[in-house]
Amino acid sequence: MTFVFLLLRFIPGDPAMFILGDYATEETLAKLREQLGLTKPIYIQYLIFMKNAIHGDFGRSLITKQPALLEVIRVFPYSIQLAGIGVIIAVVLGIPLGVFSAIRQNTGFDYVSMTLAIFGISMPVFWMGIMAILIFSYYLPIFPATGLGNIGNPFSLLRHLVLPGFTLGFSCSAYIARLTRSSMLEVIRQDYIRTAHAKGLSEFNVIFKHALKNAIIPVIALVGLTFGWALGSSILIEVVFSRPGIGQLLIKAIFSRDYPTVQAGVAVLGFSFVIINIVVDCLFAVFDPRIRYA
Amino acid sequence: MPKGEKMSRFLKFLRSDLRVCIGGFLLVLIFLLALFAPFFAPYDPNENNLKNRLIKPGSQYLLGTDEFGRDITSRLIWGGRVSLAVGLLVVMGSLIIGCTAGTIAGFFGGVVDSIIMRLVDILLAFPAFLLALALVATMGSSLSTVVLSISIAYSPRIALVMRGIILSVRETIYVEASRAFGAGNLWIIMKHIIPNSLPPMIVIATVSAATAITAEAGLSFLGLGVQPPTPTWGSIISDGQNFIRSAPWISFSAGFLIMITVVCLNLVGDALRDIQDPRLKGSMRNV
Repeated sequence: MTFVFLLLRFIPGDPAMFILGDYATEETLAKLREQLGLTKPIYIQYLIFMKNAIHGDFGRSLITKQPALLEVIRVFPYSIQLAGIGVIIAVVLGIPLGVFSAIRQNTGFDYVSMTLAIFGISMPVFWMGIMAILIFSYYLPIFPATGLGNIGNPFSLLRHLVLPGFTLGFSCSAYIARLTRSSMLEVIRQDYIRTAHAKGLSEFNVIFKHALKNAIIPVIALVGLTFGWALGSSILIEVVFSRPGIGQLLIKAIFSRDYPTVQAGVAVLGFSFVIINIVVDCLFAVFDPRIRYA
Repeated sequence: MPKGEKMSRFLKFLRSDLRVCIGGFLLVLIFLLALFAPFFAPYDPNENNLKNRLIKPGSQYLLGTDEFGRDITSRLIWGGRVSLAVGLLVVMGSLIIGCTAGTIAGFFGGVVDSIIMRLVDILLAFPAFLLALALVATMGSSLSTVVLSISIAYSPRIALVMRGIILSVRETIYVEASRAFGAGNLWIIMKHIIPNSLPPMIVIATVSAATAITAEAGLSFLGLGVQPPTPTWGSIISDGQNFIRSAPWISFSAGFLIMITVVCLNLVGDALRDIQDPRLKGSMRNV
């Protein structure tokens, strides 16, 4: 919240002049300064901002005149939906890829999958989106390129989610695959894994019940971070695929200098990131009883 | 092990590592192309030539032209200057901000540590790209604000790592001995702390350069980076997006170049990280 408050104060010079431009009249400037609460001393501004923010009041959008938080909350589910699908795809692709790379270390499969992973983390996500549109909407017209789809039709919504979801998911899966591989490699050399093998357990049981259970802890932390990263990257994905969402809203607000909406959007994204981190911390305790009993 | 021998073993490892050889060679090539752009670029990157708009890649224009008839090859070579400059400057900026904050917090501890780490926590509460975007949105779009914003956005992670290093080095016997001999804080920081933090910081610098180049491209793609007519790799992708069906080469070539540059940085970063952690030596095991 403090950062969101400071955001408007980072503007060099007079924020009201910055928002309205050089040709604004003194009267409109004074009105905006009043509306943004810039006329009071900075500590009073801070206290008022915090009080209002706790009540969900970030002021009104300078464009639509609607409460800024309402504008953000209206489109936020679309961003959560996109980030959620992206993370699910990333986990479904990344964890098995990392596990099989680790158990087949230094084989062709390992080299190919890790080479793919390094390209995955190096591709700009927005470029990957544009290339996905080119290939899967233009050359092979399988999926729609832009938009949200028909709200009343789940099949249409899902079809419109495939390309943006996979674009986001592929990028995130590369990180997950690399960490899963690295974590598995450390675990499969432990004595208890050797014991499990010696007891005659099947390879499947050793890998998925003994090794993966222990190797998954750092991966959970990364999945949490990935969700935050996916929310941040959804800004770019929403612009590429012309999907409504917090990213599209933020970019429009930035270009129209609608700072209350920018502040509300940044606050909501930051708050979601904090919530995700708390959920991840709770998940640690679920997967690792040592944390629960510590 | 004597310092000279350590260095020669380090260089030998680098030379024997395929990732460093390929990544390093391509990086040097891209860097030289950008540095000597006036010599390598066949055309003026900003010269409009509407007669030759959207020409396919061929012998006259190696990577084709855009909607204003500007040569894509020349724009990519000149655009490399901005992207690589941002990469380098962000590494320097984020290392300066992060290392200073981390060193002060870790070395002095107490209230100073608490204040700095709470500031770091505030910044870590936001995805780095969102943070950079929000800062650019308020400070305006220019090379300096883009560099400053990305540096601020990525420095908290460096501060955390640096603080961790300081906390472990601060308690070592040689620091204690140095203090017993009457060494001051500045001497200890310069003589013991910084040399010990250099190896992990080099790895972080390589990865930071990769993320900075991608972040700059993302900001330019959104129209919030360095403003036209200066070519940047991100803005070339953005320009090409409107013509993706009729002229896919515009976006493709710029994105491909970003990907190759970032792959090279990540390959070198991976190799350096392997040297850092002997348990992982010999394969791409780390993240």
